Amino acid sequence: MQMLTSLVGAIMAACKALMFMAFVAMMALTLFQVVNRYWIGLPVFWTEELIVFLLVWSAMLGLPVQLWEHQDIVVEFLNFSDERLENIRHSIATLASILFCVVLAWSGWQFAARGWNVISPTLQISRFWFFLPISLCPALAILALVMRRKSPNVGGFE
Amino acid sequence: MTVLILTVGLIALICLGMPIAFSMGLAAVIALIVDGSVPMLVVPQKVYSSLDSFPLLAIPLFILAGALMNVSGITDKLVVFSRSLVGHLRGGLGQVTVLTSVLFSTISGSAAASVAAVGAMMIPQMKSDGYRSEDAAVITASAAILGPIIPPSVVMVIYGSMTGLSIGTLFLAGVGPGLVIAAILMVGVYVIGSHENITKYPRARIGEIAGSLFKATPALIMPGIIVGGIVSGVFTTTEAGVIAVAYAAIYAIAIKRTPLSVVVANVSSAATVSSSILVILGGAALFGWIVAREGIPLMIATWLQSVTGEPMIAMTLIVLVLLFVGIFIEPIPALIMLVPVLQPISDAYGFQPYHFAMVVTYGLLLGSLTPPVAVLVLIACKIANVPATKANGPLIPMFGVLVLALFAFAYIPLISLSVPMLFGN
Repeated sequence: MQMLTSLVGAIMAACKALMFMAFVAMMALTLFQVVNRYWIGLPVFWTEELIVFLLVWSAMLGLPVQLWEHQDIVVEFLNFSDERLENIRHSIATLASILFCVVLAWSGWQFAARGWNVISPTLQISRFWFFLPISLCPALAILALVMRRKSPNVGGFE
Repeated sequence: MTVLILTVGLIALICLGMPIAFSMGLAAVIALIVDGSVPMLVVPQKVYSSLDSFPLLAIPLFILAGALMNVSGITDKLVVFSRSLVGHLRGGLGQVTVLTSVLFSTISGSAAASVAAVGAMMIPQMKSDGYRSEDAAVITASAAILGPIIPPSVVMVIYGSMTGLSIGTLFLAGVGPGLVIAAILMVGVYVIGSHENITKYPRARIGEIAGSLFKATPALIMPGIIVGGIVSGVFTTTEAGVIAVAYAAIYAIAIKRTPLSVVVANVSSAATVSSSILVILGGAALFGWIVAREGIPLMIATWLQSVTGEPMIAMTLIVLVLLFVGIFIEPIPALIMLVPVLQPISDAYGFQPYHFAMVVTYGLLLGSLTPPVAVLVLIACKIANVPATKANGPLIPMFGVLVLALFAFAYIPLISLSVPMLFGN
């Protein structure tokens, strides 16, 4: 069990590192777009498509990371003082989350497979690679939901 | 039937403590299964199409730019500049806190960032100047609400991405309400200052003001780059965000010698926060699509018009709904959930879209000050080292005044529209 937890932890760390790299690459490309437009003038019409590709990957890779680090956004209406009731509530919420991730991973795979023969206009790669995170990341999110330690949620932005 | 499943399902799943993004997604999936006429492929398709948007990249960029400026120590320069301008007014450091929040809002688009950065500097000083801890916390939390109102604003980027409205014009529409809120808060601080025995500062000499202005200039340039760049058409919103990040990174690393590890940690944090927002947008896209497919916004608009054809009464009802929802749900998720429903209602009544956007945004942001999810008050109370329940006393009158301001924005479109009109939008 300990080994499995460590393995999932390593997968989540890899997701976080990839998310970080995708984010930095997006910033660099966007900055390059501006510099190029005003000072260089190269025909770099592929940057925007690559940025969107990275944005989808970055956002979706963040999904298992948020869940693993308990940074997902929840509204805490029901907090039972009775530990048994609280455990039941937590289990139902987790099961419902897993159910949604299963639906998204399964339908996302079918969606990605449909894009296999469609080539993106500027990057000239299969659209499958654009759609893949919609399936892959919910699958990783299931791992995070099953294996994460129980702890208070720390998510929020405003 | 679908309407019932969507409504009851969403409320039940949120109450269970399921992540908001999944709650919206699962409620929509259940509705699709019961309906049976739409293939499940629509689920990933809607999630993907919500993320396939270049302007959304601006969200983490504005968060990151503000964070980098803050870690490089710019906030204390803003405090010194604000003190030289308004420190002599009744309320002393309370006035300085409000003005610092206004200035901080021009480099950061987030209220939580504002309350943490300004509060950490100002609350201890306010306490030593004679402010009660709870008053110091309430003033700082209330002023932090300016973060997403005054440009740049993460909330406005989301609103613009969801509705197709110009993000640059939304930024401009926030200037008028932001200044009105700041003026109201300063009057509030003036009143608090007349009751308490609070230290007053001598009026600063011109030389002091000029000196502090010079030191704060790196921060004051940033809104010029962002808003000026967007309004003049030099950059898109996303490009303005990345230019702001580049500027902040150069200032932090090259000039202020901020450790690279701190910069990297902030970049990582911005990426995670933006992912949280984008994932909710994914769930909301699916939910919003079914809501629109079932004609729910139109049904509500038709029902509302049968109750009242008077736009001002409809606006009042919408404001009350916003305040109610804001009590329970954080502003960004609430915005993402409500905009697809409210926008068609706004169109039915002929509200000016940028005016309506400001009302919705500010109405939901006020929820950050109301229990049980009064995030801004909780952060400020933590810094002030005072129980959040003690803040309710001073919070009620301050909140009441801010609600009156909301009604003023709702009934007087010119407050929101005057600055965009000045720029010819």
